[in-house]
Amino acid sequence: MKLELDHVSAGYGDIGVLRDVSVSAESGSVLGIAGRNGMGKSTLIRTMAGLITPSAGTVILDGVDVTREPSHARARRGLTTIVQGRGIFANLSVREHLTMGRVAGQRGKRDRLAEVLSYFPRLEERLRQRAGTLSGGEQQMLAIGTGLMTDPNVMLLDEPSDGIMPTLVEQIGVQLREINRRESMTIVVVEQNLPMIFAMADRCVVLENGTVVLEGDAEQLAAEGSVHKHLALAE
Amino acid sequence: MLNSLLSIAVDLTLITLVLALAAFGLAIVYGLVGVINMGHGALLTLGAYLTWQATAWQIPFPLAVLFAACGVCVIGLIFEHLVIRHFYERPFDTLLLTWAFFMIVTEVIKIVFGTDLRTVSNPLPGAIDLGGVRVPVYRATVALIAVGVIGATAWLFYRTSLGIRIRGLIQNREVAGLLGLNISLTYKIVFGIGAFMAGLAGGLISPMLSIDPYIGNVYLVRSFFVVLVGGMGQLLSGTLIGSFFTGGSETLFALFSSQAVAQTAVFALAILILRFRPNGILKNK
Repeated sequence: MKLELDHVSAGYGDIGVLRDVSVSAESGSVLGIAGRNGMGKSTLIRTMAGLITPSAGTVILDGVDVTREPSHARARRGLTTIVQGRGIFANLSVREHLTMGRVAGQRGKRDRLAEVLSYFPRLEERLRQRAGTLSGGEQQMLAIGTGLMTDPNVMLLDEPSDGIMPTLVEQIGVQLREINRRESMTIVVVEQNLPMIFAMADRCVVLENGTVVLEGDAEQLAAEGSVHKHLALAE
Repeated sequence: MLNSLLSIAVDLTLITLVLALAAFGLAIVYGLVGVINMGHGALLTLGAYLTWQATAWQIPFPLAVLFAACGVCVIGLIFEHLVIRHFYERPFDTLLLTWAFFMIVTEVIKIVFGTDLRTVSNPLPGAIDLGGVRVPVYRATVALIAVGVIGATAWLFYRTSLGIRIRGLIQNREVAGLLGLNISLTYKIVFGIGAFMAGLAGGLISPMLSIDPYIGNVYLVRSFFVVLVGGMGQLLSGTLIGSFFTGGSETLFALFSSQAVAQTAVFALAILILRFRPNGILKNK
């Protein structure tokens, strides 16, 4: 499933953050979005997810204009979003949390619990534990697992490495790439952790002051060091 | 002596459970979706009047109560759809709006039914002997229904997928929406269940009291104390403990003083509890 933003401008009230942004995540690919703090990365993800309605431009999901659709309607079309800070339901058990992913949207979804637990075996040991008592890394796994339970075609991730031990960051990156390969899942990941982006992404975009300033093949950009250079120059 | 203690225990149990039934609708709406529903008393009153009206049409009492609960649920849903849904996350606005709803409903009741006292005849008159204590059959039946209704609703919230959706929504609205949950529909379902409970309570309480347009007020303040003292969101245990505290202690105080002094003492005690446990007896933070 392809996700496109076409000449999108968006922000919060009168404060414009994104300016005329056009990006596209091809079906089954991983798009990495890099940039320094405050450059519009999270706003971009929230606009894709339907949490922010653009002031101009269109958001197209699988060929359908979803610009005015709220987040729950986009989720029902197969878009799932893992927000920054691992937005979880702290008082639900891990099992209930995962079930929430299956039952929140449309009825009659297939139960993907076994598959999700195969991606994140740690969760199986903690099914009866309250989500709020898990470690940061486990909460991130739970958030991704719950997103997978919605049986999505596109997954958006906002800073999945935020506040997590480096070893777990690597594990989560490997699993996300595995999910992308095994399920042909389109993934858009916003990250400041460049090694994680380069390990996962097919294409990479750099945002600066709400506009796209660099875009290209992730492997090539990594080899050239152009993202590093750009971010260093921007500082 | 033993007989007196048994009598007090039976009284406490009945009062606690009847109050729990009356407060449960408020506990759902206030505790789960955060709407300070000042209209709860009006919904209860409406339940009593609709039951009276249905029995006046010769509808059997159990069906009359069901009719009242469904009628109140529909009115609650209309109010939610036209007004409340635009003000979720704005508790003070909903407080004022539900207060206005209370006043409008009360005035409409006065116009439609008048201000004369109405009575619904007791469908289960008589009393049973419980170890020497006379227990009114109807009151005991309502207490049992309260246990059943509260238990069934708690099961709905804690053991079903609807319950998971609602509890997830309460904890993280944004993420619930991102998973595909239709938030406005879920709020509507919760509000509807709360209104149904208020109508059911009004209907079941109607044979115990004379019905007037302000009958719900008797339970409104107590219901708020039940929810606050028990702890917001503590649906089952909070409602029962809050009801036991509010209704039970009032009964105990009334043994040694007048009803007015007993009520004042209970409210003062409730304020004291909330001073030291602002989130209720069952909630630590």
